Amino acid sequence: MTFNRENSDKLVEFEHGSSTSLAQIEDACSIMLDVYEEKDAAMLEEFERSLETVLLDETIGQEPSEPDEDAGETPMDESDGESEEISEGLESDDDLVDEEEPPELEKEPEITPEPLPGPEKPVIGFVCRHALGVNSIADADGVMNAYPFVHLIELPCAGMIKPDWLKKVLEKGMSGVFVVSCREASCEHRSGARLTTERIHGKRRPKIAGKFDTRRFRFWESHPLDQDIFLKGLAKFLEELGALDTAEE
Amino acid sequence: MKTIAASSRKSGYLIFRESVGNFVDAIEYYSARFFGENSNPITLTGAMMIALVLISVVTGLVMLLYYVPTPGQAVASVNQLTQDARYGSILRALHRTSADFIIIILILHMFQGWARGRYTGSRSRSWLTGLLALPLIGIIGWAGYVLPWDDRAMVMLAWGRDIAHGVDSWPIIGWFNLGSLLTMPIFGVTGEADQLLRIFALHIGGAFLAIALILWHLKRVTPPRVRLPFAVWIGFVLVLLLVAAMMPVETEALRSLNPFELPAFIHIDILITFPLLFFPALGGAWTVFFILLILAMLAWLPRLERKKPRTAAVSDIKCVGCRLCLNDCPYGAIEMVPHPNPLKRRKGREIAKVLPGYCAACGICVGSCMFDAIELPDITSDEIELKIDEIGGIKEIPEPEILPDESFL
Amino acid sequence: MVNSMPEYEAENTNESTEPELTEPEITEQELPEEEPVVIEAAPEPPERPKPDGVVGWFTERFDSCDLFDSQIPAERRRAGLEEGVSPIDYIGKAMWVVFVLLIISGIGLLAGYVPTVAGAFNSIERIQADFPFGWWFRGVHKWGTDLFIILAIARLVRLAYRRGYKSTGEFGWIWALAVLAIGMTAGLTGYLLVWHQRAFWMGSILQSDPLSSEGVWPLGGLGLKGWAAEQVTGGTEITPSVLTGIFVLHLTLAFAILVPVFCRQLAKRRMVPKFRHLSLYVPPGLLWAVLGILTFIALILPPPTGSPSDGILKPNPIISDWFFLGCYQLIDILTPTIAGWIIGIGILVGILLPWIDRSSAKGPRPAVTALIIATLFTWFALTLKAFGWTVSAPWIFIIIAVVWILAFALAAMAEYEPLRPEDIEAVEVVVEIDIDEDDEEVVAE
Repeated sequence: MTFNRENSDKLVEFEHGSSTSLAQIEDACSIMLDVYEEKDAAMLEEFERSLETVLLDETIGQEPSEPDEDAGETPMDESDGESEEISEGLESDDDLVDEEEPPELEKEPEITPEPLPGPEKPVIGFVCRHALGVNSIADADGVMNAYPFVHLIELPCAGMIKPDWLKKVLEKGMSGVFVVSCREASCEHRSGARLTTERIHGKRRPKIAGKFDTRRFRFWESHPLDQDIFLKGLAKFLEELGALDTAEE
Repeated sequence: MKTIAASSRKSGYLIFRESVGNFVDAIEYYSARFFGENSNPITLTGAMMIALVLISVVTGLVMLLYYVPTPGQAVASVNQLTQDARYGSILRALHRTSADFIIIILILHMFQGWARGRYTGSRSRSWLTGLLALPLIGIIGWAGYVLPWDDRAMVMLAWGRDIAHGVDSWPIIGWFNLGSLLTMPIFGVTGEADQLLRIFALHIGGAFLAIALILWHLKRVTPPRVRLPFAVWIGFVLVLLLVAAMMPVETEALRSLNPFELPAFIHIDILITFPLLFFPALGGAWTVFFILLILAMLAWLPRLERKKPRTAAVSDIKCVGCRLCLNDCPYGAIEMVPHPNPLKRRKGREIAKVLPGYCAACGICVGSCMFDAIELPDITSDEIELKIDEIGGIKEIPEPEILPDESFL
Repeated sequence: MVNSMPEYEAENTNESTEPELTEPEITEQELPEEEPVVIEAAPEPPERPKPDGVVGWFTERFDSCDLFDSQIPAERRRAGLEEGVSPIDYIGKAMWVVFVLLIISGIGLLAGYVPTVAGAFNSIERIQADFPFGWWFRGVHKWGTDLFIILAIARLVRLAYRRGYKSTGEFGWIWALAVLAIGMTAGLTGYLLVWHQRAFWMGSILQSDPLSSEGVWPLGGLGLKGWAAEQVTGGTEITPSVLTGIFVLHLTLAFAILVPVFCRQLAKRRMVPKFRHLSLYVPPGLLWAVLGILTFIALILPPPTGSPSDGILKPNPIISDWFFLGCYQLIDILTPTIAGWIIGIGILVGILLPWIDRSSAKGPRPAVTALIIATLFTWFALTLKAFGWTVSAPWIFIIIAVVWILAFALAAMAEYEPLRPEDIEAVEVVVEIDIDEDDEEVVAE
């Protein structure tokens, strides 16, 4: 099943009274099926921990301790029942089933449990032309020389970034997104850096609507003369993304 | 990523200017690291000049308490100010020093504006009004030197008169005696008393004109940085006071009254009167001619770099008239016009319209629009979203081998 | 806003996973009529982080301070009061035009005026007689002053009547008061600069003991008046340097209005697309009208100069500029101390009016209107008395007192609202409960 941006905020009521969003259910399902198949103690542990990290910044009414309690008692039986209920509940609601997504759950066992050096999904960066010397760190198509999975999109000004794009990047399943702009005091177009900062922080319209995982987002103010600072920060960011991705599997 | 197409061939001038611009950029960067981002003097040149204008006005007003603009009492009153009044000499030195600093900072400001190409397109208006400021400050300074009506003032007057008559000897302009005509209010009067009063009015009227010129200059500047941070204010005033203490202003008789023989440098402030450097070689009129020629060349610069990237455009269908782009545009390049659709226009609906002469194609309006109604033709939101999808499609998820229906059977 | 977009219908989600690239067609109802974007002639950024605390209180009020009515016509037009934009809304802009003309004519006068006791009077006569367009410079400057003060009073009255001093408008109100005070002081100093007979003796009155004494100003003027007189005029006597000091004060007052306008313009971090959106923009019609009126008056009514002061002949009566006549009459009739207290308290009430008037209703209020009418009448009556056109001392105060009492009585009646039926019902309910609970209370009800 797929959960598009439009309906990912819909709530689904469980029999035991808690509710969660469909986005969380997707993640939980993928993990629960793993647990069902492997019955591994280590996986159990990770499953408990991962259920905490499934919850994004703004949870909808569900307390993190609840799934742990459920999982702790009889994870297999209850998850069995739960997954049946979920599929029942959702199959009766036609708009939530998409035929192409379930195989994604099949693919999960292919990824090894060892953490990879970086995120395996692409990372997109929106970069201001005046903040970095893009030509020196990326090729003509925007792919960074140092990290082939990082794609840079060069803009005339950081102020051109629509906050929706940032959200869209993460919804498309990419690992992370970052923004590089000039420093506010030396922005080439004077106010681009300030406006973008205000938009991202919700102090200026258009704001980022809905949930946005800020752990997968970074904002740098840079200058062509100290872009090595940015590169160092980027390396650290990519490591964190890698850890996040592994933890969420 | 398809970026804005770079120009295929750059002129030599452009290459030269951009290399200087990169150099200035580097200076600004290191200066920011030293002073701090918000206290960087290179970005604060404009704010410093405004602070200096305010300091000049305040010191000038206080000095006016003593100064009497009549030929008989001018020198005596100025001497009384300098010698008897408690802070008189500091005030006078501060007034003159702030004028010097205005000229130094003005030239630096112009230089960094030129080097970074901040005179093209919509910024040409700021450039031109700024160019007007240079001769204005020079004239105000010259008038300020004449006010004490001492010997140095006489020399300055003589130079001024000489320049005015020299202009009459120019080929075309001179046929109409334009030099004498334009300067008639000052040099055409007969009485000394009248002349001094006219120059006094020139000095103070010039101050009002300078304030109006600053407002006109800033009208077309992206949200201007006009406030000095408090720490910078303190440091700035201290530097001013230090220089003022080191270079006091004296009223004195000069040794030679020959207009073309430069007096000892310490007695004439060469910054305000730097044309004097060329007087021995060229004479007054030709010096002014070359100065005007340079100013004219600088004023012509915006036309040199007229090529601009394609400006933003508004979609009639999608724009709802919410004015977010208008608020955010740093160049004031958006205005509201009545909706082209008559039904909506009757309801008072407006849509945005881009003024191509002011648009610098920065894209901030694109980021501000919630309805995808305004786009840069070179990079549209659709293109970027397609690019995101394309990048996202690279992720290594293999195509499913079994049909999803079967997995549930 | 994005969150409130309608839910997609079921069909949409059965497409491929590729979502639409643009928002769906927006129907009329969802267009942001309720967009909280503040729309003004020169647009403001829609949302700034709202400042709080003491600094925030000041910042809010500074930001909404309207120095010369730059916002009003646009505001009222946006509020849908298209037909409500009357000439009254343009008083501020007319004031700005007059101020600019005052500066221009003042600079012209500077080119001929000699600020010394010996040369002042003659220089002014020369300007009027010999200078090219000298009559224009002097005439526009003098009549412009009067027009400026009349407009300042009118603006104050309009501001008070519409109660524009309510929340976040306090500084605009104080600025309006300050502009009037500055205008009157500049007019007075300008009057003195002519240094004719009347000016000289007016100056001597200012310097004289009763006025310089501590009793005139409440709390002894905090000792400021004597000190100020000494700084500006070099002492409490008329000396040659008095004129220079008054001259500098006159110029400083011009900057005292110009510099706040300048700083306010600089503080606006916003761009305007067209010249006509500038807050200092004046419609050409208004510009030419004011210029024409002032030029016309300067032409037909050359400002009188009188005779040069000689320090000996004292004119009788000593007449100041018209806007100070009322105050002067008050000082003349009552003792300077009492008059000083009355004027001082009046000014204090004026400044504190935004905080005295605690009613949160918008728009005119009968009590405030009564205050305006009563104050205007008082000032008018006293000014007329200076010209000898009204009744003598005790009666004038009785008339003024009667007017005050009448005004506030009418206001009180207008503000009294009879009980509405709903309120009466509530009272009845209470009575019923009392009847139920306690029989003895019935008698009391």
